[in-house]
Amino acid sequence: MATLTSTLTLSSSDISSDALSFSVTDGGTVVAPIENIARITATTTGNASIILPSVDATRYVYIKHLGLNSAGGSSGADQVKVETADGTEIMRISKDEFAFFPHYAGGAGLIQLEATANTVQVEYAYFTRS
Amino acid sequence: MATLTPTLTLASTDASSDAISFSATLGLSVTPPSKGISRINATATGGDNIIVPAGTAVAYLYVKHTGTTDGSTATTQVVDIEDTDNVAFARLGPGEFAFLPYSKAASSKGVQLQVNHASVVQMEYAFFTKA
Repeated sequence: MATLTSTLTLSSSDISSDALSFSVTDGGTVVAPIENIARITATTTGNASIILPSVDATRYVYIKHLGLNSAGGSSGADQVKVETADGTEIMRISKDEFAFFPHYAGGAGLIQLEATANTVQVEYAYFTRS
Repeated sequence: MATLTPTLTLASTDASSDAISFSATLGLSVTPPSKGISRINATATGGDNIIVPAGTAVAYLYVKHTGTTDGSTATTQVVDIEDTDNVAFARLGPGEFAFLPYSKAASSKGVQLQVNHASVVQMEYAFFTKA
């Protein structure tokens, strides 16, 4: 077993009258399968971009929209839908945005990425919780 | 509009032969409604623990499992993050957290928390609406 240390910091000086500034850290124990930082070009066909295989386990998932299309140019306003196997959308990620969450869908379940139009380069990684 | 700056760092020296150490950050423009760091005693009935109301806007969502039932009594029960149709997409154990741009663009669904056991877990959360 290995340890994945994840830290999230949220800050804002103008989101409310009370400035926001805090961090949380977790040291999760992880086992194989692990997929370290990888990149993929998402298309408008979700099942062509499966980033998380269907396994009955919780996986720590990181996904980031790189703001680029398949040719390396700007992806403009094209977003990436994060979906389960049946095409159900979980979230929608825009240019430069990212997500980190322990994915679990009540049993075996995969994650696929689908561009809202054209193509979008995406960075991702996952780590299986022990 | 206001700016929310999230920074995520992932690190591991033993998950693979090549140590992992990287960060992602950006400045997000946000607008009301928002809810600052809050706590809720989640139960096994998801509909009683709605933390983001139904809507089609993107909500930058933070959720953390405090590892306690009441702020002090330890628990190991896991908590599912679900849409308000009871469809789970994440499961948090003690100390774990999630940060994501929640969106159900094609339908109006919120977010709720459901303990996977007939007990109570104190959860921390916040959300900020994308401008």
